Amino acid sequence: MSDTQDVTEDFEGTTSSGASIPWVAAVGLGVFVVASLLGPFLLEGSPDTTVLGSRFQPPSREHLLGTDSLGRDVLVRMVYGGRTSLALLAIALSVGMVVGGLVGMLAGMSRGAVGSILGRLIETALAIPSLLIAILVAAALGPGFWSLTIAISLMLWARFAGVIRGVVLSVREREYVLQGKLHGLSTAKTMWVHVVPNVASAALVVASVEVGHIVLLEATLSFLGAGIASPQVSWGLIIADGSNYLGRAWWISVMPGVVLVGVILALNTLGNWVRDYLDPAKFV
Amino acid sequence: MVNFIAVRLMHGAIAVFFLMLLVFFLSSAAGDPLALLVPPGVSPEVEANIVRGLGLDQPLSTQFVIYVRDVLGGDLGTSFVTGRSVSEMIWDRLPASLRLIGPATALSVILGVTLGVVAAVSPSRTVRRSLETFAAVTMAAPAFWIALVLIWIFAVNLGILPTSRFGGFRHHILPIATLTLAMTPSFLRAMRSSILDVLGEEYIKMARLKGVSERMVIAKHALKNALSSTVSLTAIYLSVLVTGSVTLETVFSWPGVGFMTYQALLQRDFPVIRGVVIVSGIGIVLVTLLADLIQVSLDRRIRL
Repeated sequence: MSDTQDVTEDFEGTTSSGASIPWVAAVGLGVFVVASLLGPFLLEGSPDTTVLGSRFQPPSREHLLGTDSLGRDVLVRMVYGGRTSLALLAIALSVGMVVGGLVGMLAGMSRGAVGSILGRLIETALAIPSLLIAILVAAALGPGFWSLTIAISLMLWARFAGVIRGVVLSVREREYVLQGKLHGLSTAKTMWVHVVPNVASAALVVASVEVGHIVLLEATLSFLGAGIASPQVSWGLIIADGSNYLGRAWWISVMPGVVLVGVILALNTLGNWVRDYLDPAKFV
Repeated sequence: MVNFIAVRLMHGAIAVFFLMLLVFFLSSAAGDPLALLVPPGVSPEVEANIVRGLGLDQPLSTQFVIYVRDVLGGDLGTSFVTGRSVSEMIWDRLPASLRLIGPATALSVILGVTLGVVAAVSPSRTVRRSLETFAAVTMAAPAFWIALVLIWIFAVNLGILPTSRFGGFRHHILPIATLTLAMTPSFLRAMRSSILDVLGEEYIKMARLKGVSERMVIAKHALKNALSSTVSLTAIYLSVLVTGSVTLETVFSWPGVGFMTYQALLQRDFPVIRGVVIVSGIGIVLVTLLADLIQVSLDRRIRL
């Protein structure tokens, strides 16, 4: 029976194109990050500046991605939406990595009931679609940046814990670890010397594989009204705003979607590359 | 085998228990249900009666036991908004959802498996690369955006299909197409990588050495084992399916369970959302269990 980490990894597929760095993806992502961080200082106007005289302007030199139903510049809103995504990524990944890392190591190290119960817990959390958890959290706590962060962390910790548990389980039975134990290495020392380095690279792999999923999930939830709520800006929200005006102003929904797909594609491509680069044997 | 089934059943039961615990915990975090249920200005006695009637005077552990008993007995509570039983509401909406889910799942399994095999074994590099690119792009594209683009092209610009809402055959085309597009890449990639895995194995090399034709090798040996490892990814397909249905039914105003969930979210109708989550969770546990059993019977390499 396959373990949980195999499931996620198989699903991603493998990049057969060799181990060279995917430059296009890397440069594209660089542009996205720099634009999100520096954009507000380079572009004029705020995401909330409504100019009713210039509603539904198609893409032009003045408004590269056009304007929306309230005359707000779509590109400016995209830049601010990118900042929201970055902030969410930073917080959710840190929480998920720390909680998932601790639970995963505990689940992998402890034998007997604790290890087995934690294992079941991780499997359950992996099986429930993250969208449902997020809708549940949004309904319970009210939609917004923080309930979205909680929801995404609730999904992420299990991804980390599942893979890290698998790594610990396999590392702890390896010859050199057993040898160390025979020579009187304490459990804490064993963890530090042998387990932690392996866990760290596994965590990096999970993080790089999951970033694309998080951005996608954030957009979907915000689109549904279960994520970021106005006046905060999110890509999903911009696309939702434009969905009522497809006939009149297609660019409001279509253009941010193109950028969104590009960013997620770049994140996934780089994520797969990181995974193959760090440990082809274990993670492919 | 009997042992294996027993262990999987127990795992499933534990999963359902954890799910109920999470849902119950979030319900208590959702705030005081009394604020919504007790009409303003009633006497303290009436309020105490309502509290007792709902079991809210009991300690949390007892409330949880009652909740588990209710759910297992099929009672998912009552909607705050419509006042109807949540199980009934789900039951009413399910057929509309299945009208999308059924054809879309069938189509994406057929498309995904076929294209996955082609992507793994096609002699043409261009074909392999374009299928990989297709899978990567559709996987990166959110289902709601694919839906909007299809509506924009086929309904708004060409005017040949309706934009949304429930209706005859033509109303089914765009939602089913979108759901199929959202699900196909998962099957495609899983199929492709398991075919590649299987083709590297000893018994395949053996069959080739014995002079079995390449077509036979793929059809008889590789496909069978690859299918069984593809089945093990059921949880992931279900996740894509649930996410896809909720967003699509919302975009297309399709009167299924997903759209109902969306409306309940807008109205903060917590019992409905809680019911949908618990029912889908239990459904997913059951389907995963079934998939495990199918996988065991398909794949002779798994001996338990």
